[in-house]
Amino acid sequence: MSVFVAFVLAILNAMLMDNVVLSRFYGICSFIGVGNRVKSATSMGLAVTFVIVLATVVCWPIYTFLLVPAGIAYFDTVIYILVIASLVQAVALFIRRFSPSLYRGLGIYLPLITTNCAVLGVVQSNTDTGLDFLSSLANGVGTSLGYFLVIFLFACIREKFEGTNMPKAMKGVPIALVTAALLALSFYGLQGII
Amino acid sequence: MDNAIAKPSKKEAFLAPLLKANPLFVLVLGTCPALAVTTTLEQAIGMGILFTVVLALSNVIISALRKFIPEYVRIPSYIVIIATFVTVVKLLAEAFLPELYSSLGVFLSLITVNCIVLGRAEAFAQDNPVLPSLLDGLGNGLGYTIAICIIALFREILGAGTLSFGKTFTFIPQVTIPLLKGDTWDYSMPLLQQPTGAFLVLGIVIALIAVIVNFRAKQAKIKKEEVKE
Amino acid sequence: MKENVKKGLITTLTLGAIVLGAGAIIGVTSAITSPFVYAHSLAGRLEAVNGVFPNAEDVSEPEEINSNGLVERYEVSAGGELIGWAYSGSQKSQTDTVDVMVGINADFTLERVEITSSSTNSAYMDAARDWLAGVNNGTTSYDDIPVGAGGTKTKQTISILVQAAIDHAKANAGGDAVSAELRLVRNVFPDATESDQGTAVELSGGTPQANYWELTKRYEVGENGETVGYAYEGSINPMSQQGSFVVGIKADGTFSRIYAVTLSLDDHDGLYNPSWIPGTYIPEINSGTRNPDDCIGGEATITAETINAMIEAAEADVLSLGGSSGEAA
Repeated sequence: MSVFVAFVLAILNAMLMDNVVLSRFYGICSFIGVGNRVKSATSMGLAVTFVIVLATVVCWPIYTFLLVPAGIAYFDTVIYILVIASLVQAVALFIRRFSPSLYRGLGIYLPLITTNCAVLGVVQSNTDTGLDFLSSLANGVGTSLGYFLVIFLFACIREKFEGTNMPKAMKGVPIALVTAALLALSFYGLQGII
Repeated sequence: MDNAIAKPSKKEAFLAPLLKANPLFVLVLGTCPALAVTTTLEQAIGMGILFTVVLALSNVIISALRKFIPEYVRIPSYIVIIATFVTVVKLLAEAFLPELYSSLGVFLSLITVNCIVLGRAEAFAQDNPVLPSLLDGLGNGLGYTIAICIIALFREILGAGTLSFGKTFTFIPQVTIPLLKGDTWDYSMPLLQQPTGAFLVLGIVIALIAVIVNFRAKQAKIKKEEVKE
Repeated sequence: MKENVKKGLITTLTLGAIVLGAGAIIGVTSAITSPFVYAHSLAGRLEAVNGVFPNAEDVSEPEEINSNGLVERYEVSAGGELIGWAYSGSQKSQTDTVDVMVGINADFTLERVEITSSSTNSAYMDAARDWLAGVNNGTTSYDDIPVGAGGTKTKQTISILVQAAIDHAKANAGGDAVSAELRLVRNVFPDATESDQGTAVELSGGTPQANYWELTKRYEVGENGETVGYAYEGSINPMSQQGSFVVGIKADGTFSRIYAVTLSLDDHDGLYNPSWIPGTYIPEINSGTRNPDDCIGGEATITAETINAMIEAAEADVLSLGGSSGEAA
C-alpha cells in the first residue's frame, strides 16, 4: 500500500471510525457548550482544526528530537500544554487581526481551545503510542476533521430543537447528550468499513 | 470586589460541591473522563482518586503562590502547575498502580485540561487562603469521584451485568459479582458499555440530578417562606 | 513600550521559575519511581521467557530481528552472568502460524523450546508438542524429525526456527565487536574467529532461468589465527526461482556447509523447504549424510544439480588457491 493511500486511510480512520468526540470522548465540553449556532460552530471547528494540526506538527519533533534524547520524556505534558497555550494565543491574535467579527463571535470559546481535551489528547496519544510523524499528522488531521464534522452536525440538529416541547429537566445539557448518544450510535455503525 | 462576596466557610467549601454545586452533574464540567473511564466502577474510583490528588495539590500550591504571580501571567502559570502535578501523579501511577495507569491511558494526562481543575483554581484558589482551598479541592474531587462512580455503576451493572473488583486494583482479590449476567443467563444491555450508552447515561443522570436539586431548592424556599410567616 | 517590555520580562521570569520548579519536582518523582517501573517491565519480560529459562533473573529489553522467522530476542542472565538468549519466532506452516519461544544457552546449545501460539489446527500442534517434549528432555534432537508421525511440516518449521536461532546466536556472539563479514561466514563456519574483507570472484555456469549459478565473493575464514577454509557468497537461478547462499569450503578443498540466505517465495513462506528444493537435500548435505553430487531422489533434481555445480566450482577454486594459508588473493 503506497504511503499516500495509507495516509488517507489513516485520516479517514481518525475522522470516522474512531471519531474524536463520539468514540474517543475528547472535546465534549466545547461540543456541548458551543453547539447551538451553526455559524459559530463552524468557526470554532476551523479554529480547533488549525490549532490541532499546528500542535501536532510542533510537538512531535520536540518530543522525538529534544525530550527523548535528553532523557526527560516525562516532561512532555508540561511542554505540550505550553505549546498549545501559545498556539492558541497566536491563533487568537491572528483571528482578531483578520476577522474581528469572527473574533467577537467566538468570544470566550477561543481561549478555551487551550483546555479542549481534543488538542492535548491527540498530541499526547500520538507520542504515548509511539506513532511516527506521518501517522501522527494523519491522526491530527483526521481528528480535527472529525471534530469539525461532528460539531457541525450537532449544531444543525440543536438549532432545530429551539422552542420544542420537552420536560424541563431535559432542556439544555441532557437533551444535548441524548442527541450525542444517537449520533454516536450512527457513527458506531461505520466501524469496520476500512 | 472580593469584599462584596462573603468568603465561603470551610464547611461550605467542602460540602457544596458534593451535590448542590457538583462539578459534573450541575456545572457540567469534566465530561470527557466521565464518559471514557466509566466502563467499570474500579476504573472510575481510580480516576477519581488520582483526580482528587491533582486538584487538591494544585489548589494548595496555587493558593500559596497567589500573592506572587502577577495578573497577566496567571492562566499560563496555573496551567503549568497543574501539568506538573498531573505528570507527578502519572509517574507515581505508572510505578505503583500499573494496571490503572494502562487502563486510564491518555485520560490521566487529560486531567491537565480538565475544566474543573483550572476552574477551581480561578474561581477559588486564587482568592482564598491555603486551607480553604485544600478543602475546596478535596470537596470538588470527592464530588467528581462520586459523580463518575454513579455513572460507572449504571454502566457496569446495567451494561456488563456484573460488578467486578480486583482487575484494576490488583492488590484486592479478584471477585466478580453477577447481577444481571451470570453463567447461563444474561439480562444486561451491552449498549451501555459503548460510547452511545455513555452519553445516554450521563444525559439521563444529569436530568435526574437537576430534578433532585430543583426539588430541594423548592423545599428550601418553601421552608424559608414558612419561617418568614 | 517600556511597560510591555517589563511585562514580557516578568512573564518570562515567572513562567521560567515555575517551569524550573516543575522540572525539579518531576525529576525527583521520576528518580523515585523509575526503579519500580523497571521492576514491573522486568516482571513482564521474566514471564515471557519463563517457559524456556525458568531460572532467569534479569531479562533485557527485546532486540528486534525480524528475519528468518525470528521476531526478537531477549538476553537472559542469572547470577550476574549471561546464561543465554530467548528467541521468539513466528512462521507460517500449512494453514497455521507457529509461534515459538526458543531458549539458546550461552554455549549455543538448545535449552528448551515452547510453543506459544494457540493454533487453529490442534492435531498438527499436538503431534508437534509430543515431539517437542522429547526434544526438551534430550531424548530427541531438534533436527531429527520422524517421518509419518503426523504434523511433520509443523515440526520441520519449528526445527528450522531453532536452527535459525542457534545460527543467529552464534553469528552475533561478541556483540558489536563482530564484523559483518565474520557474522556472514559464521553461517557456514560457526566457530570462526576471523574473516578477511572478502575478495571478488567471478565464477558462474549454466543458463539463466534453467540451471544458472554464480559465485561472487570469497572470504578467508580463520579460527584463532589459522585458516580453516573459505566462505563464498553465491546465488542460483534454476528454472524461475532465485536463491542466494553462503558456501563453506574447507581449506583442503572439501565441502563443509551451505547456508541459504534468501530463497524466493514459492507456495511456502518457509526458508529451507520451498517445493523447488528437494526436501531434505540441504539438511542432508550439511549433516554429511549425503554427498552434494547425489542429486537424485527428491522433488527438484535440477535445483540440487545447480547447487552441486556451485559447490564443485567453489571446491575447485579453493584447490586452485594452492592451499597456502593467509594468502590474500
